[in-house]
Amino acid sequence: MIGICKISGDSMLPDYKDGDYVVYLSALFGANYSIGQCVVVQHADYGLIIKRIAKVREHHNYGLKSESGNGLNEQQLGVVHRGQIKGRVIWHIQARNPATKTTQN
Amino acid sequence: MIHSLLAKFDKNIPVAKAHCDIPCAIYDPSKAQIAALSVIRFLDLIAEIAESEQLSIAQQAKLSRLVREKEIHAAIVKEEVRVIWGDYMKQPQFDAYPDMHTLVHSIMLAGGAAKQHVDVENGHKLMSLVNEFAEAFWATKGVETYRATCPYPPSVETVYPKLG
Repeated sequence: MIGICKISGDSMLPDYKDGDYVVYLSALFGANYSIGQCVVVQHADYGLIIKRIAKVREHHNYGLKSESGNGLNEQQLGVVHRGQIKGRVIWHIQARNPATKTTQN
Repeated sequence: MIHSLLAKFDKNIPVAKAHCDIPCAIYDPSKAQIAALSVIRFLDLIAEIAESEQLSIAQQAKLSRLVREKEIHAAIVKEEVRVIWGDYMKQPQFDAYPDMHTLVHSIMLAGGAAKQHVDVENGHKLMSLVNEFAEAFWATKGVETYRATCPYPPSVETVYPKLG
């Protein structure tokens, strides 16, 4: 299944900025996610979040991490099950660079 | 171009949070204001002790406590303002209040001066700047404010949000 969401926050900098959109694709036919993939997750405590897979654990469980050093870390995020992962990012639509916009104005 | 197109359907697109901290979203300058009021109160009490010609052991002990608490509360002011400025405020708030960085820096300096010295004026200056900060903060939330004398010592003008 394909979905789209907008990013709010800076924990995935420098790759994903506040205001960017991402299109994600669910793992098909029970396929697993791999370390380093950026995923959209329905987290029990934090709601809909975007993070990167940090660890692949047993029984289709995963550890997540933020990109930026200030973001929620793997311990805070806990373990998520494959069922909570809505999909991996397959298309990144970046917001216009604010610096460029300022220059144009 | 695709981003601009998607932005038109923004309301229908879910938001995935990528916050840099636990996204509690609770920001309120009242803690900084109460800490600033406390600084003034401690400075007033220190000024009362200063009127004595000779300090008893009990007065010396009280003075030590007051100085310690004054410094702790001035540090709380600085910390609370720093968190709102650093975590809550983003470019739209800075665009609305272009002097925000200068105001926050002035609070840092006034907080430092209130820690270092025992002049009551330092406390009033700190409170005045924190009030200004509180007004700007509530304005970014679209909340009106009013000024009133706080109903306890040191009984100085304080900014409150008009809620309800």
